[in-house]
Amino acid sequence: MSLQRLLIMAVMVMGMGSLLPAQGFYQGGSFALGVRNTANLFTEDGSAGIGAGGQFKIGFGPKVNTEWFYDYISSKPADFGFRQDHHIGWSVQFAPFKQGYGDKAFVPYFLGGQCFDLTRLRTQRSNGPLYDSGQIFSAAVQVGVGVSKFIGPRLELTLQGQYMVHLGKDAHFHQDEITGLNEVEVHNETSLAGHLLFTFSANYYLFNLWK
Amino acid sequence: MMQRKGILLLLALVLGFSVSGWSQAGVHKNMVQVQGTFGVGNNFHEWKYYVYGDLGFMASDHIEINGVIFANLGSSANDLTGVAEYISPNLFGQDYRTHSLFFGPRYHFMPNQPFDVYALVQPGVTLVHTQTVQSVGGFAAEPARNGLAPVFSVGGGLAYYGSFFHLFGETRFVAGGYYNEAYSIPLNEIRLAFGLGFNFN
Repeated sequence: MSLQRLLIMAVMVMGMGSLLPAQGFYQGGSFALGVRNTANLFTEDGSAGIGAGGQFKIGFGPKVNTEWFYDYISSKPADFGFRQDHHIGWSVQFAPFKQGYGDKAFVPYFLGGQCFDLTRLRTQRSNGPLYDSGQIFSAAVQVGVGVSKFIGPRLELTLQGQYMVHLGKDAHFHQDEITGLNEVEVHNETSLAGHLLFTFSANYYLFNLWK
Repeated sequence: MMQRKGILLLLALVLGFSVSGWSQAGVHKNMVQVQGTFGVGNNFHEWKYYVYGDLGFMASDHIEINGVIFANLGSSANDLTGVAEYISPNLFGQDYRTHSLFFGPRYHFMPNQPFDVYALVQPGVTLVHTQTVQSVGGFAAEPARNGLAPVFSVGGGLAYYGSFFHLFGETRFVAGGYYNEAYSIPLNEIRLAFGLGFNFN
C-alpha cells in the first residue's frame, strides 16, 4: 500500500463527509480532543512512513484555530533500516474565507507553527555493523495548507499538508559507493533539513473554555 | 458484606440500564456499547486470528467515540520469511504477532432504529512481537523483538440492535509497517470481526 493511495483514501473519507449534515458549533474558545495519522513523504534521504498521534485544539475565533499535537512516525528508507520521529508541537490554522470554521462547506485554511523533534536512524544488514544515530534533537517550523469539514455539530475532520524544516544535526541514510549498503551519517554541524507531511485528523469539540 | 453490597449495586446498575432502555431500539445519544468477540485478518499471505474487543460511547445520535483492541492469537503460517520485505537467513524459524489498539470516531448513519450502518476512521498503534518458533541446534539466529508501529485504519460495519444486545459485523483496512534495523514487516491487512455485543441505553 503506497502512501499516495493512503492519501487518496483520506481524501475520499473527507469527500464522504461532504454528504453528511453539519451545523455550526465551533466558535472562539472551543476545545477539542482528536486523533491523527500522518504520512511522512519526501524526506531528503528517501525515507517514507506513517505516523499516529493525538492532539488538542483550542479555537481563538471564528477564523483562527490552533492545534497542539504529538506524532510518532515510523519510516523506512528505500533500502533497509528505519527512521523514528517523535514530533511535539503546535500550529495556528487560519481560515480566510467565508464565515470561518464550522461552516457547512469545506473550509480551507493556511497553517504555520513550531515543533520539537526527536529522531533516530538505525540500520544493520545480516550480521554486519550496526549503524545507529542515537536520539537527535531538533527544532522545526512548519507551514502548509489544509481543509476542515464538520460532520455534525462537534466532529471535525481535517486533511492538511505541510512542509517542516528542522534545525539541528543532520542525520540521514547514505548508500556506501563500494558496498552499496545503507549507512547512517550524522553531521555534527547544525543545518536545515526538511520533509513533507500529510495529516488526517478527527477532532471532537467538548466544551467552550471561555464560557 | 462489602461484596454483597457491590453485587447489589452492580445489579441495580444493570437493571437501571435495562429498564431505561426497554423501549429504545438502535443507537442513540449517551448509549454505551461493549463488544467482545473473535476476528480474523488477511494480509494477502496468511490468515491471522484475533480476540476482538471494543468500547464505545455515543456522544450524539450519530457519533460514537470508540476504542478497539485486537489481540493476535496466531496465524495460518508460522514463518516470517514469507512476510518480511528483507529476507535474511536469520529470519528462518521466526514468527510474529501483531496486537493493535485503535481509537477514534464511528459515524452511525441510521440512529434510533434496529438496523444500523456505520463508518469508521481510526488511527492506532500495533505492537509487533517477533519470536523464535524453530531454532537450529537450540540457537536462535535472530533475537526476539518488540516494536510499536503506528497504523491507519478505515472501515465500516452493519449492526442489528435489540434492547440489550446487538449483532454486528465489521470490516476495516489497516495500513502501516513495522521497521527495525535489519528488516521490515508490512502491516497492511483486511480485518473482519463479527458477533454479539451489549448495549447499555
